[in-house]
Amino acid sequence: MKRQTRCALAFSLLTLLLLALGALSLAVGSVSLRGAEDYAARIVDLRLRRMLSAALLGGALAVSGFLLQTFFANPIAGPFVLGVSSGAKLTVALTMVLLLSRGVAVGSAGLYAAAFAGSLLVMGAILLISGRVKQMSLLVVCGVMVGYICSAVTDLVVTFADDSNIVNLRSWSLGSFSGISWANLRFIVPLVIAGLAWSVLLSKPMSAYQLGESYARNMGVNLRSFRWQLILLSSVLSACVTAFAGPVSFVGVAVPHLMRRLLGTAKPIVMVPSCFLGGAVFCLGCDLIARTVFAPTELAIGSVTAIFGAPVVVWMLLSRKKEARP
Amino acid sequence: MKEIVLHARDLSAGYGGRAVVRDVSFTVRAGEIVTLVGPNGAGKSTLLRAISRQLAPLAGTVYLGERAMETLSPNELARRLSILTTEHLRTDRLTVRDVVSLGRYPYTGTLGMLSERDREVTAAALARLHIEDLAERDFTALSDGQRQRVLLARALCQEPEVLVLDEPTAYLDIRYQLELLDLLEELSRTQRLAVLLTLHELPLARRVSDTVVCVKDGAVQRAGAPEAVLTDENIETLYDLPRGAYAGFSGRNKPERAYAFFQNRDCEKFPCHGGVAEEAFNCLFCYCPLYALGEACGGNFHYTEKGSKSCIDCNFPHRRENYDKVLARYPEIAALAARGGRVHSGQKLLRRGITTGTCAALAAGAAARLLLTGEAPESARLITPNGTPVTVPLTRCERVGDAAVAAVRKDAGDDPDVTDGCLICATVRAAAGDITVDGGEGVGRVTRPGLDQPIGAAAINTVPRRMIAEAAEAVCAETGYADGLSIVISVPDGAALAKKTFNPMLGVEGGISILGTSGIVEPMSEQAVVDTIETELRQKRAEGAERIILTPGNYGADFLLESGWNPHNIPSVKYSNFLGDALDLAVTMGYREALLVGHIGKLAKLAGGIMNTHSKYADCRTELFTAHAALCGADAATCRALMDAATTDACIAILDGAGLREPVLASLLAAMQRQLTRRVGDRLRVGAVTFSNEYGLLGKTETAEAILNDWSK
Repeated sequence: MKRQTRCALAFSLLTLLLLALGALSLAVGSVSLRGAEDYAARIVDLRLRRMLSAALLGGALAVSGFLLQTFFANPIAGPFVLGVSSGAKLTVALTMVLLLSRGVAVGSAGLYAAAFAGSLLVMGAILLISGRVKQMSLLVVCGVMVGYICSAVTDLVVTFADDSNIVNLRSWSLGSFSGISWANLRFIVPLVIAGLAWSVLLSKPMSAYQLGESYARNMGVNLRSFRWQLILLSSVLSACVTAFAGPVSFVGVAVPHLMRRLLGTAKPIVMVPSCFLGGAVFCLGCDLIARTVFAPTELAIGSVTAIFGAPVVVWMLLSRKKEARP
Repeated sequence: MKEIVLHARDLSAGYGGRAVVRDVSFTVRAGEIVTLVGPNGAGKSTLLRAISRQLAPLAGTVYLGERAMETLSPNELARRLSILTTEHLRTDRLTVRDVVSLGRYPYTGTLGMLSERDREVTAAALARLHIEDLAERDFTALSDGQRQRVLLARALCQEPEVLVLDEPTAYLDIRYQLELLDLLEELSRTQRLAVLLTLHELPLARRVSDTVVCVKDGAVQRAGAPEAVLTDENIETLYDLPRGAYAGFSGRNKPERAYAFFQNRDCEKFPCHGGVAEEAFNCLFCYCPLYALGEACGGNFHYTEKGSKSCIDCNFPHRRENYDKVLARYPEIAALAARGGRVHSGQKLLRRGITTGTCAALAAGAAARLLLTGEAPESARLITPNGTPVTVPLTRCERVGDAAVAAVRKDAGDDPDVTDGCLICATVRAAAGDITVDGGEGVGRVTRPGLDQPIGAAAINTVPRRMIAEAAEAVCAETGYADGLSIVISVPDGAALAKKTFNPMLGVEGGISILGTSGIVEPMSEQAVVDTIETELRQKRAEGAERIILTPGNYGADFLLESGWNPHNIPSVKYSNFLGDALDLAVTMGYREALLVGHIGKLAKLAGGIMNTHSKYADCRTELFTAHAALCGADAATCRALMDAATTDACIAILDGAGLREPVLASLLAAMQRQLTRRVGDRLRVGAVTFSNEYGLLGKTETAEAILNDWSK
């Protein structure tokens, strides 16, 4: 009973925060709405798009992180940490450079397909590695290394790209929720909502999987199909973010951890929705900071999420060591 | 034969197409524990993995009941077989209840929400493994032993027919190992669960298993009952030990458990304890019938260094070849069951006794036998109405003129009863017509209506009457005697004893009643408490006290001290609820004066003559208040309010409201004094003072007033 109250309170808190930050995102910005009546509508439109993107993509990222953590039974796993985001970044950069240099414009679907392919590529590499290394910390190190390799290749691509493309690529590769159009959103919204619904449906086998493979199998979980779904789903969600907002770091690790602390449980059925809400709140907050603190200069969203997310991860690592050694 | 739940046939399993175990076959039956033993790497765990479908078998089939396992859906399998593995759980922020309720997985819907029944099953599993206290704890914070219990509870939540456990005792110290195996044994027996496990500890395997399967080099080397399989020689072969290496280690004899009596699987009466009510239970094979024979019993009976009797771990009566010896003791055991059969009451072992009715019937039967056969039996025997056979020695059995007289001494067991130890006699004469039962000397006569017997009849109740008649009839039938008998029951001390009973008040005069419906007195005495009271009274008396203050609890003594009525520091004794006992003891020890000081809640009962004030015997406080209020002229509304009052303090408040407090209390106090005097007669001067925490002093009885006057001098 006590835990149910706690969960209810946590969800109310998150919803309230989301609404408040949403409203604030619409109201605050480097351009004052007053005295700019002609633009007001356009500015609100701009901010609305940005607010929606930040919330949806932030939520997607956090859920994707939670799925990966469940998969690897490792709380440090996340799309950024494992290099999945970097892989997506690489393929998106390659696609943009290759196609733009030929004068072909890349649509939402194209961008997304590139990011998804990159995510799966890195995911496959990580899975291959995880078959060999049983130690989770080593796996994370491998993930970070893969991420570095991808980033290095991305930098190379950017270096040798046409000048005209560089501006585009630079801002994208730093990460921002600013460049997302309504057309992009029309693509993002159904994808993220479907991904979220799918994740909720997966929460029952996830709860069994939390006890370990043999218990999950014994309870009737089809492990092969479940694992595939988990990998696909987390890639679908994280690729969505990378494709449209660039690499956003640490949300996938920090938010699920914060949510576990907040809820006091790791039950997937409550974790999935709360991660989504938490990720949305986290990214909305970070985006708000990114665009207002040094306005009119805008910070890269990845930098802000790193500033807030990385300490959480460090804190988590330290506190875990204290709690229980397996 | 128990049904086969799990059957592995020609099973081969391994990894990467290479067989680790080959052509293994065995069965597990419902309620049976099968243990796989064998050296490391023999393939035990692989076998378990194949059997629980964690690993696809390379060849062969596993049958669950009638069906081959591969034809079961994952969900069906999950409902029939659950596992406990050596895998370390890496849960994060999951409570014990969360983990256990996950066992409901195969029963929950798409989102895994728990239904009411799921919650019930979870709670039952927690309770079954005695981990309700841990329910809200974080799983990672538990000890290894606790974790295994939690995982076992989780496995039970799947409501399986088969439980497969891979080295459940790994990581556990011996205490937890034993505890876990005891749980498994209990589950297999009570839930008819088929249990298959692997163990490395051979003494544990020997202890817990119904069947031991030795696995070596991927094949079954030997299988069978633990005693047959786990011989030193076989163990040495199984583990490639040199000859004799294990012998010294295991000891020659199979280790017996301390409670082997109750759990002896060799005994064909096993499981004798299943579902039997403890107090009615008297397994011949558990309460050793040979114990009374002492060192001649043939078992392990011996005197310890301290000189006390001991036969711990003895298994003698359970062995088939000794059953005759046990059965030969049966008549004595029947008597033991009736007279000395031990019954638990709280922490104390209490003896059962027999009722006056049973005594009368026993005596009547014996006397009839003497009359009709001319031979005086040495003992009398009958089956009581509740089915207990009773055999007692006869104190007396002789012919007196044309009559036969037999007497039985009543043994009330550990039950406080005035009739304990008194003689019950039966005088039987030949008569025309029927068998008649009447009361003689010391048996009361009914003088008022409303009792079991009509006015004028002897106070022998219907059941004992029937028992007496039946005992005599049985002898008549045996001897072919067809005429009638006149049976007169007498109790030589009856008239004196009756004064200590309620009989005069009930309308039974001149003696005691012959009572008893079950025939057996179930002891319920809190003898220990009375013993304490007795000791205290004796001490004070030995110190020279002739005056004593009796209080039910601490309140009484405190009240007296605060009131300043005890200037000479007269000692006080707490009597708890045993007022009657305390008074009787005070009389026999030669006290001269006793002052009863107690809360009105306790003393109000005294007004009704309730001498054991424990609420399990009687309450009547509000009834007494109501009755006395009515006597003092209270109206119907007041009486009704009094009856409904929750406490005596509330009663007084009501009386205050009606302006009746003084007369009602005076009436109650007068009744208390009457009861006290009736109990002790003129051998002890006793009065009562009563108070309540809320109202302070409520009143003193006449004698109390006088006593206090004397004391203050």
